[in-house]
Amino acid sequence: MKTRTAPSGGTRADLASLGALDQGGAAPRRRAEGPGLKSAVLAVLIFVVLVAAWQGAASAELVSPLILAPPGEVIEVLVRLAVIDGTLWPNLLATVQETLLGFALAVAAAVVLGSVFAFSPILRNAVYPYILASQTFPKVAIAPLIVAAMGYGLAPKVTLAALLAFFPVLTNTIAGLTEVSEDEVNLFRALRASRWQELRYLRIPNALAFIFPALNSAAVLALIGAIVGEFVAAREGVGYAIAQYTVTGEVAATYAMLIALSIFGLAVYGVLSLAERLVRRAQ
Amino acid sequence: MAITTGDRAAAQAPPRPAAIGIRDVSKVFTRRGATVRALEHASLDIAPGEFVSLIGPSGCGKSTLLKLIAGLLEPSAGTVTVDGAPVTGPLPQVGVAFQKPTLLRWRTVLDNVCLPLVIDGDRRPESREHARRLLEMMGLAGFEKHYPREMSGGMEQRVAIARSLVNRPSLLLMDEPFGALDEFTREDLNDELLGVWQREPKTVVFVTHSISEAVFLSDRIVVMSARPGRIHASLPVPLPRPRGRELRDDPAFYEAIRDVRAVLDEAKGAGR
Ligand SMILES: Nc1ncnc2c1ncn2[C@@H]1O[C@H](COP(=O)(O)OP(=O)(O)OP(=O)(O)O)[C@@H](O)[C@H]1O
Ligand SMILES: [Mg+2]
Repeated sequence: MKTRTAPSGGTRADLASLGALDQGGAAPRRRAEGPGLKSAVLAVLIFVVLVAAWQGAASAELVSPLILAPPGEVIEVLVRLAVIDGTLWPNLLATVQETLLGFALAVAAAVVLGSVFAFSPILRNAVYPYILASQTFPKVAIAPLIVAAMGYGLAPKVTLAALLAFFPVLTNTIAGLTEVSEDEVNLFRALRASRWQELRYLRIPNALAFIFPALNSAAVLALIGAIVGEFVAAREGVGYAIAQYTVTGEVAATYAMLIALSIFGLAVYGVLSLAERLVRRAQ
Repeated sequence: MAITTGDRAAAQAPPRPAAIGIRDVSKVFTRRGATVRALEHASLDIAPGEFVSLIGPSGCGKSTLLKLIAGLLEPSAGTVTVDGAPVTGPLPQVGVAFQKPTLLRWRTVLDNVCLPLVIDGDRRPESREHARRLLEMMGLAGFEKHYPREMSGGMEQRVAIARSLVNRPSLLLMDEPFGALDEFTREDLNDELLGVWQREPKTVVFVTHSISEAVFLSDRIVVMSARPGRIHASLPVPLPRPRGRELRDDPAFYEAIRDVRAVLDEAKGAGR
């Protein structure tokens, strides 16, 4: 058994520097409160300025009232739609449903297909060019076709949402599963890890870091898909409502819908961040 | 700070240190039409329990030779044997520390050290405790819960060394493990490594660019020359064991360093 008798100057210096590093790690966190507070103040300020500019532009009629409604009126209409006549809810619910279904479908398909592609270079090389080609035309352009094929119900909107959301998740799944360094692969080989262990402890954790950011853009794209589908033909939904309000000249109601949508978007963002943190911790 | 990893190792009776045979081994890399003769007609025998250092100019094939022994590369010609059996792939009971630390960034320091245990399906708490002690030995006590991004390059290297030792390998392959460390820390860790080697007998193949480190640690120093990579000389280190830090002030130590440097200069000349 070996006992360390006289700790050398080297060890002491080393430990001291380690201590310093530890403090260094904490210090930015402490300092972070300063910028955090400043950012919050600035954010509020920006909000106030934007609303003031909006109000100013509306009252001065810089922009036609047929296009821009004043903020006060928008809030009023939002309250009416949400609380008094409640017409906001069926429309919002329909859009949320289409978006979430399309998103879920896209993510499931992209993760499964992405995994298959990641482990079969032959299949990847054969099929990927077609998928890539399908990305080069704007899929919203085929929205009328899809509606014609699938009718007025839920299906065409979910399909459009899924089509738009699919690609970023697919590419990031493939990248996350395949972009591991040669050294990392050698490490697992040297440890005699099975293929499953390499997947479980190397490729999947690596892929998650790629997939989560893609989920955010996929959610936004799914929402766009759903709204476009509703623009083409629908009986309810935010896109449908906005199209109606535009025809009837209810400008403020259009803006109220947009505000409702962005609140939904923020909620999705929050849920995804939470999911990411939970998955990270579970590892 | 007393490190007691010896008792349990003895209780577990680790496998006997491995013997390595390298017979006329060549390795040619072909990349985009260009061929690199990384290693040519290398022959080397390493006895069980021997501590051998590989030293030589950059690009002379040290890492390549180490990966051939590890079973991560296949020789283009010749054979590599461990305990008489040809190496066809990575063997159990081999610990590898790569030139780059290669830590998994989503695992904490302790979880990185425990990775070989996880792969082996070893979930005993005492194994995890062993990992903790190795970190302590590497001067990283208190950093168990940190993530690699919060560590310096030298600290990451030490984590990787702890990881290579955690399942008590009988053959340890280390590629410039202390390359990113300052002289003081390096000397400390050299002492610790010799301590581990004495407590748990194992064959060690150790790549380094530091002549003094090679002399201090090794039974034998293999000097290589570049383009093509060849084994130039094999020099026994005539210093007694056990070696402690007082050896670093011994004239015999300096003499050994001078001898190795002379041969290394010769090898560099041979490479041109
Ligand atoms: N995977 C590879 N593909 C192609 N060439 C390679 C590969 N690995 C190594 N080489 C080449 O083989 C030669 C020897 O490389 P090696 O990494 O073994 O050198 P080294 O002695 O470890 O050098 P250093 O001291 O810089 O780490 C180099 O010329 C290198 O470019
Ligand atoms: Mg090397």
